[in-house]
Amino acid sequence: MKKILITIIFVSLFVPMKSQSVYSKVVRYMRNNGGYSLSTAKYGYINKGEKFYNYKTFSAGLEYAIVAYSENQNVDVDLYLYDYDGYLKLKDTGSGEWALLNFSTWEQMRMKIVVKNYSYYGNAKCEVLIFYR
Amino acid sequence: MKRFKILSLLCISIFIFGNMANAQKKVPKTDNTEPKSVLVPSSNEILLALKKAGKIKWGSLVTYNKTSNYKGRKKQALNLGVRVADAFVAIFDHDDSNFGYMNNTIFSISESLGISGTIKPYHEKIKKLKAKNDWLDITLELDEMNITLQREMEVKGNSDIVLLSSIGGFFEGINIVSRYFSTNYNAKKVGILKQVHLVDHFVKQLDKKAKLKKDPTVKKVYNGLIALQKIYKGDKKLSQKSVKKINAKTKEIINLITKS
Repeated sequence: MKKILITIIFVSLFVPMKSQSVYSKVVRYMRNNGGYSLSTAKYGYINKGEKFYNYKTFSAGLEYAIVAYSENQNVDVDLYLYDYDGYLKLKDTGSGEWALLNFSTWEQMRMKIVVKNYSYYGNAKCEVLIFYR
Repeated sequence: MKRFKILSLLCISIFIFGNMANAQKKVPKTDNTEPKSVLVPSSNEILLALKKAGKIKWGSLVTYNKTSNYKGRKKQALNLGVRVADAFVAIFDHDDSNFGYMNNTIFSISESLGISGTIKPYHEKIKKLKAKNDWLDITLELDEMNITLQREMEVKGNSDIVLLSSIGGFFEGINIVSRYFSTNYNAKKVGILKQVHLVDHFVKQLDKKAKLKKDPTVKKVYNGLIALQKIYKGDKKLSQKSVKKINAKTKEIINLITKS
């Protein structure tokens, strides 16, 4: 049920609006609905089936939310979180132009965040945003 | 009501079919590809980790430097990062006057850097929130301002400014945290200070920018990063002695950056 609600709310973020970018809407949404602060943002251009890799050191005791999205609604964005040794810890491979993972740790950990353009034929701009609280 | 039911059915269908598609996707259980980039944390993220580690007397850990008239974009960028970190400390401490000073200093430095257009809406909003003592929203606005600014600068090709601002914020964050642990040493919690990969990332980035590294201040900041690398390599558990060394080095670098 929670996932359905998140889906409905998140889909609405991607409805085009002239005044606000998807980036602004996602940041505002995370802030207003979970008190999350934005830690960092990074974008990359990804071809079909390709991935965009980033390292991130997560601090102990903080709760994180990782959002990956593309402003191109034809892109199916998938998001994976691997540990430092390369083992998969979390994934969001649902259909759609955004993906979301929640993560927290009790010791400082370096993880690998992987964003994939699953289905779109073309060089799609995908952005990953890391939130914390 | 009927519309709501249709909408609900539609959403449930999206959810079910989404998950069916999801089940067909092959997900590798291991992936040993080395990422090319590192996501740099905001200085607030490091400071918040310290905040969660115990009751902190923030006022004793920070020197709120109000200087804003720095010559040269490199020094201005480094100082921008330092003042953003200081502003977060003032927020944690609910220190109204020092937060006001830092907010104004950030704006003045951004004017010198020619980026005040991006900061202005946030600066005005933060002023209004400050009048209401809404510290939570101030934190969120300041974080958003910082990242939005970096994001826009990156797009406009000002990656040097983004890098130096991140390094300035990093040094001030580590300076504050190491000052705390120098006198309140806790072996289980000093891990926050161990930003080995972040330091390696900054060193690699500066190594790629030979022209930037020639600047006298940047060169000393770079040497400060190398000194931190040596401390991390020499003592993986970070003893109190090493924490004090980190504090001495970061203090030296912060004094160098903030001196006009």
